[in-house]
Amino acid sequence: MMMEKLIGNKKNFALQYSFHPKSHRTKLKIYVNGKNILSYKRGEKYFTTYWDLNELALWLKNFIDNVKEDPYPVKAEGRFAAEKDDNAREFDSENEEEFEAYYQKLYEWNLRHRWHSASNGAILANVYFELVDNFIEISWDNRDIETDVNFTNILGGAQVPSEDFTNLITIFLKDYAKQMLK
Amino acid sequence: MASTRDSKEGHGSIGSPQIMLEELRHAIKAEKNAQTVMNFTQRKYQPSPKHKPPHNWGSKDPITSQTEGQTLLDTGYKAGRQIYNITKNGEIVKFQPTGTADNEYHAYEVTSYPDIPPEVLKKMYEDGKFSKAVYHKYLKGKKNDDGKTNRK
Repeated sequence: MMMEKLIGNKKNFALQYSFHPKSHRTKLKIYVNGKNILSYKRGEKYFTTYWDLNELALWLKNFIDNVKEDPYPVKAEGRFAAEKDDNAREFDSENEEEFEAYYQKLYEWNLRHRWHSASNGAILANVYFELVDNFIEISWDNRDIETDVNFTNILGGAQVPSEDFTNLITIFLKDYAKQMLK
Repeated sequence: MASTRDSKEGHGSIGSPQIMLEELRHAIKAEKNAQTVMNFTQRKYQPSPKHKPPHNWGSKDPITSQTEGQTLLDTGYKAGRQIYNITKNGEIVKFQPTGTADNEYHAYEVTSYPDIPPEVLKKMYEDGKFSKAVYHKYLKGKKNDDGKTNRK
């Protein structure tokens, strides 16, 4: 039996996780406004992310260590980063250099704010994190992720007080680090 | 069967972030050091059952044979610790080191094209793996042949 640990308040922001006793696999749920934004359906069953999360842990660590106001790099429609990043990808140009420079900019911003490149092959929701004023805006766009998987929460976003976010992620990373050293 | 308990943490003290930082750094560094040693031996494609049916936790590995996998790994495009290539069916795959002493890599299909480093896509295009139109589509982060994303 794996003991799941819950930190935070599911109605606002919370993490719930458990560690496989003999491997580096972690089962992770992230609740935003009462919903586990990592939940997905494959076949007839529901799952949440359950994988070796070394890369993801490092990504989260880097994010909270370097968090600062870093607006989306181009003008784009949308309330949250997930929407902006989608709308921004309609850009075209006949000038090859301009076209490549534009998408290079998006790629670099995504590395800092979107965790999916750190999935390490996990089924992982496409989630963005961005500091705006004193809140971390968490947004997600799962319309184009995985062809045989349906994420429960497709498109959306919410704000979490920055301090709450950092505190809870820090607790999770501390527990994760301890597990890694076993 | 899992049980849950509210640790009551997150409502006040969080322990020492410095300790957490050192613990996480130490753990990840140990794995990275192992990777550095492994990179001096020939890379070997070793498919992981985690990326094959009936497992439900990982992205799929579309590679159909050991030979195909080894060839794609040997001729792939390196970006950091990962290596990318494109299968005969047009799937872009990512090879990830497994952390074993034999310098093994497992593979899985890239499911989100904004993850792919632009320099990898450019090299693939320059090597004739796909047309300029497809290169532009992939740079935009789109996958489908009709240029639209796979939306319901």
